[in-house]
Amino acid sequence: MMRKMLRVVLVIFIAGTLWSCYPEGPDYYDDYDIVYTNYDNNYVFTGKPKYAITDKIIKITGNMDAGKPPEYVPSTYSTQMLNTMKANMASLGYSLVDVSANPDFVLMPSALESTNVEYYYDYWGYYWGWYYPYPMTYTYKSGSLMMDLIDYKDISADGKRRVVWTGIVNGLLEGSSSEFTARMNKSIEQAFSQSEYLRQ
Amino acid sequence: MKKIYLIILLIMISATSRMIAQNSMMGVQYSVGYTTGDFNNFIGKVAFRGMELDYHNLVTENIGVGFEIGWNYFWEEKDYATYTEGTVSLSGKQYRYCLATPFLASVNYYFAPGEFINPYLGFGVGTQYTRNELQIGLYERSSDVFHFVMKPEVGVIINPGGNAGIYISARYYDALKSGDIGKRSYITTNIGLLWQY
Repeated sequence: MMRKMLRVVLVIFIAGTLWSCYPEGPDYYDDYDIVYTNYDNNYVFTGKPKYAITDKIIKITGNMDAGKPPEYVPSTYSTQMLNTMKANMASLGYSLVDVSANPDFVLMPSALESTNVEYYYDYWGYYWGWYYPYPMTYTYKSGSLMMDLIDYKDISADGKRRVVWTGIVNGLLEGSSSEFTARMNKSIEQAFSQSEYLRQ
Repeated sequence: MKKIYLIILLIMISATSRMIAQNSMMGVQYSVGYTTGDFNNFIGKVAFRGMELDYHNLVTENIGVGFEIGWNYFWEEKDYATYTEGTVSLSGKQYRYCLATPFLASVNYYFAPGEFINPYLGFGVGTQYTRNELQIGLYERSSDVFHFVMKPEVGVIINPGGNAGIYISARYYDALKSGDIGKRSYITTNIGLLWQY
């Protein structure tokens, strides 16, 4: 009787405990989207309304060889992103000029893509000594769009220009191209809207 | 602190070793958790996932000494928001998780043993393991800590006759601050089955 009772109690408790393993968390791709911004606290942005922007988004590949041309984000994506940046700069009071017109700032976007591989760890196997004889993995692509605003006129002694604002948009590179573009545009807008100090 | 844990462990082992004795109670409960204080600032949502396992050996007709183990899984999805600290602003959805697992030695006082309605008061002391996770975007920060915990309890056993009954209880786990992690205190309301043998 006691053993039977003990078995029932343990079965209920273990079944309930396994129930706790059911994961909770993000459901949609945009639940993973984050926007980070930072700026130089001692820098005065006002009174500098002219800016230039690159016409392409450079891809950071991590293996750039000397003499080899850099890779760029395809124009199907980059055109919309660049237009969103321009629209947001305009709404903050900036005028777009060519870089040859000696602007106050240059906005330089770049993108980084990575493929992430996750392994199913055989937790039970770890304790009980069994293993998968074949790989159990899944992959997903993630990426970041970085926007650096540099003071074009402030050149250091070694010829380098100062970055005064950075916006980074990070998330999953998944979903249809229209969904992805909509998510990117929304996040780019968020980067500017949470950086009100840029306003002229 | 280590001495306290050792004493608790000895009480639990001692209670378990007497399981073959008569006049013991063992029960399992479904548990709903409600965070309080600091913990409520971290996760404000009610936790509907939880279990408790209790064993008490009746040293007198009215007093049961034993142990409990259990868990409550708290989690909350925060709305998309911007968090600013200094010059840094970060926007995204936050997901916060905490698994609270108490291991306690406990004493119950039963007011009406053998009656159809048997109210009781209880007190427990021990440790509570908590795993805290904060996820934003693809990034996650987690920490595992042990808290010292005290637990008052109020409950009632409904015994329609025979060995099995229903018991309903409310418990307050006062889990003290541990390391960088603030208090992880919460109240639970519980209902389950109890066997007396």
